[in-house]
Amino acid sequence: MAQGTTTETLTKPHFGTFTIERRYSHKPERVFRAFEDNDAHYRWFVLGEGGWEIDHWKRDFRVGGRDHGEFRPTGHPSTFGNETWHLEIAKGQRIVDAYTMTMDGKPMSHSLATVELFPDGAGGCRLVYTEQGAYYGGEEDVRNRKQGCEDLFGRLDEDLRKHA
Amino acid sequence: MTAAAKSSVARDTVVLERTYRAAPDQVFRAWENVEARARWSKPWPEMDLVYDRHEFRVGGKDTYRCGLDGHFNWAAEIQYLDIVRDRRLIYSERMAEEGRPQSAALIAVEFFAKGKETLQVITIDILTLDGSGMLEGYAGSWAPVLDNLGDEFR
Repeated sequence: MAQGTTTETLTKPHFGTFTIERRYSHKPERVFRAFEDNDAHYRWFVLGEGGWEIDHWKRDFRVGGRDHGEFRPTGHPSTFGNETWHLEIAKGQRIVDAYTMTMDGKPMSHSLATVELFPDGAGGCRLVYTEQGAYYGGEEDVRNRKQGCEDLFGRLDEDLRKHA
Repeated sequence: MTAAAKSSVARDTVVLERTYRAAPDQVFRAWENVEARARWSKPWPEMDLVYDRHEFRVGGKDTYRCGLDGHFNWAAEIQYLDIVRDRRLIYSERMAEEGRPQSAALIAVEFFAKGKETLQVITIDILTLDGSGMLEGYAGSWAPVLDNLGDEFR
């Protein structure tokens, strides 16, 4: 395998997109802080409810920064990887990322992901998450990814409630 | 309930297909080689385009500037996410004008052999930011670039 190129896959990537909207009882600035603060982000995004072994995780939340980590469900034979590049950050309002998920080093998906935060009523926030990407597992991958992201934004809600 | 705040992001998915009279490995090399790339990716001959960095590998980054009359008011940063030689190339690209972010895109380029020719399919998920006005005519802006790429194989 030539250095710098991925393992050749026989599957043509499937292009898909999904959007998630949900409301939080916290202001956009507060919700944004859960992305910006490394400890907060690690709690809801990486640790979640547990059941994952984290090999390593590095977060570098700035334009041009790169997050990367590897992890597996406890006892699972495969290692999953996440590499995220932050393309654009508008503080308190918007995050645009490009990210790759891998399984045992082989690409599962490459996506463009946008988080937008809007004020919603007094002291509330509406989060709109849109992902567009190339998925090697077809439309089922897109559905699973959407479900996974919905779970993540649920954990964000719990974390916002538990921490001031 | 207050009116929903208007999104500052406009998005679209664009698919561009071209057939070139060259084998997939030749077309792939025109993307890989920085001199060729700087030549064909200028939409107009009058435009100046300079690559400051070209790292054609998974995880590598390109940066380039473009503009007219030596005034490089556009800056772009490409992040390579996937490269499968002669088959596929997937990268993100963000563009800024005078330092202001204008767009972010996921660009997937696939090469399919069709006899002695190559069908190149580019799928672009494009986001434009803060009313940049780039979205309208975005697909059209690729047309001269894809024409130029064809000239590489004459």
